[in-house]
Amino acid sequence: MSGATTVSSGDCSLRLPTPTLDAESRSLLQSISAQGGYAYARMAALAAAGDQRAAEAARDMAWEQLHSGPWHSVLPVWRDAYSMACLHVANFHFAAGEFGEALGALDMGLIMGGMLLRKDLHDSVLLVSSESRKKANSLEASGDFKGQKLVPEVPVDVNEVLKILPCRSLTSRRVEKRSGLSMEGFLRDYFQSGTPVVITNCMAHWPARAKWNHLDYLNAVAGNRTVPVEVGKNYLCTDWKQELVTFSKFLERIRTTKPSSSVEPTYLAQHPLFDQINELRDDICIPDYCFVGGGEIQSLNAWFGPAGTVTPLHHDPHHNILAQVVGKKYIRLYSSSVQDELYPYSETMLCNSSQVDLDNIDNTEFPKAEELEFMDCILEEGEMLYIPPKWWHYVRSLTMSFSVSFWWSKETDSSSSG
Amino acid sequence: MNGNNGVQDPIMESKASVVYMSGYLPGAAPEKSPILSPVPVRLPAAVHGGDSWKDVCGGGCGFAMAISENGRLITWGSSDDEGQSYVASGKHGETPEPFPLPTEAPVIQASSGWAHCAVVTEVGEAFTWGWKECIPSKDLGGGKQQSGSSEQGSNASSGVSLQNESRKVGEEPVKRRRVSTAKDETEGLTSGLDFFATTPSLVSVGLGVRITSVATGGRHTLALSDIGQVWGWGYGGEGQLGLGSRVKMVSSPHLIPCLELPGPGKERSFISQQGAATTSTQVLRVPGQYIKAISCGGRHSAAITDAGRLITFGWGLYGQCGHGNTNDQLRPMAVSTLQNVQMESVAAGLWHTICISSDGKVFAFGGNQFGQLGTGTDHAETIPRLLDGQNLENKHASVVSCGARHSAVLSEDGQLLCWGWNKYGQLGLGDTIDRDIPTQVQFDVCRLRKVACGWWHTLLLADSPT
Repeated sequence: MSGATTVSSGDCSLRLPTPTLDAESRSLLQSISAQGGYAYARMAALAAAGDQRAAEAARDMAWEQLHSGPWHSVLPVWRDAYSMACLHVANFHFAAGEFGEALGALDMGLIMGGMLLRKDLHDSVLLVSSESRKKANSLEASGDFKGQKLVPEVPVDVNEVLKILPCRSLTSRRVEKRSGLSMEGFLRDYFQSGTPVVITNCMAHWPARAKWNHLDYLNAVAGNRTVPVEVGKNYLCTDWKQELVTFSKFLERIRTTKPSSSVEPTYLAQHPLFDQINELRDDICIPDYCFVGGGEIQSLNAWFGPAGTVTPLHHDPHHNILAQVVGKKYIRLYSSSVQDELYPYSETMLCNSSQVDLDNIDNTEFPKAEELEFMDCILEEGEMLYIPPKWWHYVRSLTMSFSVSFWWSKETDSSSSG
Repeated sequence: MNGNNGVQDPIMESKASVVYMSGYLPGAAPEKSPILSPVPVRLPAAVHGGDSWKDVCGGGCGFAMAISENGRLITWGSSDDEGQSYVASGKHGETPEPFPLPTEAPVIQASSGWAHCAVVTEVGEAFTWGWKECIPSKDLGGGKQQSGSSEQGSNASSGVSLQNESRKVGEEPVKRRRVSTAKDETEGLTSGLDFFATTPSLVSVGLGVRITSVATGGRHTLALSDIGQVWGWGYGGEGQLGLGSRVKMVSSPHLIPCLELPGPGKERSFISQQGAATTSTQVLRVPGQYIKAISCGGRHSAAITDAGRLITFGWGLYGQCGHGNTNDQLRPMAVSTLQNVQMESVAAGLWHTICISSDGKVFAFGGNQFGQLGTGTDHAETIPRLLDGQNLENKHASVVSCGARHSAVLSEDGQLLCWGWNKYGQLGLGDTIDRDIPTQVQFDVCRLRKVACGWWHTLLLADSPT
């Protein structure tokens, strides 16, 4: 295509705002060439000149590179390359008035891409969303939502719940509940000693508490956005898989999931949703407790799914506050000092997961697990649970549930955990 | 990524052959659509006089390779606006042309990874070029000295640079970028030569060692010698160089201990260095005296012993090493579930591995996101699974090849079966629908001799219809 001057004359009105891309693309392409990505650079240049197929091929190439080795070994420049290709793809859809497709491409860039072009992606999402609303002639998200609640406020029937929960649940030590715990109290009594605690009456000021229980609101701010979800009993099962769906489709699925049905639950789990959807980020507040001990936030994750989702017994390297916004969850905790008795997997990928299935303990294979001491609780709407680093936890939703986890570490902690 | 029997399969007929291609060479011929059904590739005019095609060798991301009857390497693929060609495919761009090699000796075999190439000549020399990360460095350890020491295996760490990965990943590109923005904006992308070795360089594995075949992966290369030893270089972060550790970069060819010691008398110091305890307890001797075939996937490697045992090593996240788990395999290890099957050849893609037995059966394992295992599902397999669907019934598979995310098998009676990713028509089935079972490509024009998948494309070698 020597000297093919693909001037996209005329219809320049519908272009995404991509100032960073415009300023950085030359040097970014050079970095990618340095990593052997000459064919990518060529396709990206053609995409910028108006070749839609090239944009698509560039995105496929970058996607492939993101998956061509272990996740930690992927060169950051390929994440930026992926975002770049997503912006190009989105631009073509946007110009053609295909707003849903444009948003989908931008979301993929936000979910898997790098940091360099994040602002362009967010700004583009804003523009596409507003154009899309104009076209649909729908009302802006007014914040006044009176429609059907996702989860009705009904107290837990303990006898019913015990039929579902693992053996010995709610029979031994409960996690202490403290109302409006002070920072000093949290530091002194729990953080320093590494003791779990449930903090109540501490998130009434979150906008999310008033909004997230309303289907209309969630659909209005995020319905057209693409999110990664997990389908299957839990991530240790063979038929477990990840899927990308629009948020409205996800909401429809979890609303219609019957707890007893044979359909595998869909779970939006461990996803940094708030880095992706700014409107939802504005609805939450980082708890002050997370700054105790001079730590730094490592990640904010969303956990949104129907009743019956299970996160199997595992531990994480960071301090963790799990904030329950909508619905109720059962959580069981085993001390970080427990190791062999919970039979961690030997594979590197799963060495923080226990082979013990609490819902169906195999006493002959894992004899030490049954009698182990633990503490547990039912986490109610508006409560936060502090889980110290390396504490084993098992989580089961008792209703439809939307929670937010905050991970933080001191710098010294995080450097050792990788 | 092609299955490769060190022994050349001579094509007996003297009559002319034809090469067909389906799929897509990103960067090449942007105005053209992906080729959904195989179309003939023009024989370059320069070699047309009395010459014909001899073999197809797949190709990398954006370029294709084949060999002419006279033993010249023919390449085609992308080039850019400035006339600065994508180095792997030659300066001529999309027109098939002979690729200039610094030797007169005929090429007998060629292989390409994502962005690098390697060839073997009739006299047992190997040359490699392309993305610099994959090319042995010339100024290291001083040529023959270097290879001599590796041959003895006396110094496993010579030429092995344990680079700090985080620094390499994080800072280097950023630094380069900053430098380049400071430079003149018009500089553009023409400085590809900094990152690409345009001139094929001779691979030296030691005096008197003749190389009979080469295999290329995403970022690493293996070479097989005439006495059945395997040498490897390039990136080894997941164990794909089989050296027992996560070596980020091996910048000169190193001997890979594929077969364990026959006894204490013939001890190789290379092995004893690894720590006797580990070696003696973990690794059992693999049946066989030498290696007869090699293949590289994206970040894993496979080899077959003369006794027909399959050996794998490298990245294991998708089960592509076939050992029943998802761990990286840092040392060559025989696939135990295939111990009673005589393996004939093996090929590997980015995340998967396909092998065929001497009685023509096809086994698949590893990642399956696009149906590239041909098992009828999208579930990964961590141990080899026999493909016994109806399209393979009573078929004796004789050639196997894998692209990045697709697979192809040619049966003894000349029937072609393809499966996996098909977004760019690489399966040659006339559409862009992925297939998760082996699917027959209708090809009645002439008899097929060979199939070789490139990254997102497929090459076929066939007898001329006339």
